Amino acid sequence: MNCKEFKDLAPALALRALDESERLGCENHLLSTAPHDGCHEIESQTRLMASRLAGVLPEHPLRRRVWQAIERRLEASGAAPAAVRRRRRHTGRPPATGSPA
Amino acid sequence: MVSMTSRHWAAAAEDDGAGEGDGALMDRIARREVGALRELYDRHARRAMAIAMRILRDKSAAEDVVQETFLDVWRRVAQFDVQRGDAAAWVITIARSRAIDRLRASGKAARVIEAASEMLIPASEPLPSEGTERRRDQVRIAAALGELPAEQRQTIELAYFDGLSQSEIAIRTGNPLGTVKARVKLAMTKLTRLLTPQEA
Repeated sequence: MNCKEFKDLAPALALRALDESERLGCENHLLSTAPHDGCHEIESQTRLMASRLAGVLPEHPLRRRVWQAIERRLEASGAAPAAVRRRRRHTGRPPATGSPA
Repeated sequence: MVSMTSRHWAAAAEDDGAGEGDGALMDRIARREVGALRELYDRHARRAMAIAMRILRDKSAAEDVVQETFLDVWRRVAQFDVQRGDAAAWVITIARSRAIDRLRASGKAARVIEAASEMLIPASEPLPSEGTERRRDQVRIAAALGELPAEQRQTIELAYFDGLSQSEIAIRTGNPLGTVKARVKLAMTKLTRLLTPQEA
């Protein structure tokens, strides 16, 4: 894949609308150390554009248990148990003892 | 142009009454502050949930995607590069990608191909609880989508909001694959032109 071919596919790459072989081709092209003709810039620009489209949707409320499940998994992984406990002390948020999400 | 866009969105986040910017939150997450992750979650989880729900049409599955998304943010924060987009864009990209992975793994995409896509334009009214800048942005994006020719808009909606690949869209719409590819490219080029702030 050359830079022109990549740039043709970049919008569909950003939308996750490429077939697997095309997507892999694009990703390999981006990883290539050969000189590029603005490929990374186009990739960033189209990815940002795509992420922005979600803004047209009304926000959707979440049940409290979603965050509680995140907190529980952080604790279980040992990622930051002290930080979780410290934050609970400061904010008074309930401990993550609800049923799994 | 990309950095200009990022600055604009970062400024928009501040206008939104968000207080501490997302960039500062990401720095704190990198220092393993769970409270910062919670703040990022409070800001962007509802939007992540919206896109996951739209793609998966299943509340529990969408909640799982949101959960995985923020655990991903925690695990991969060192990979976050503000030069490649702001934190909100990163969160949405992860959530959407995970929702599409789940959709394709479940084989539900085939069912979506058969179903009529719910047209999103004109966009529904923003919730009063959403920030002023977010409401403005929602109106801008809806207007930009509304400016696309109907067939391009439908193609973008099937790709972005239904998670279909170009090949699946070709099957769904009965159009040649080359036509679908051309519509994706034209639509995204036009949306970028319409929604990218121009330097004075």
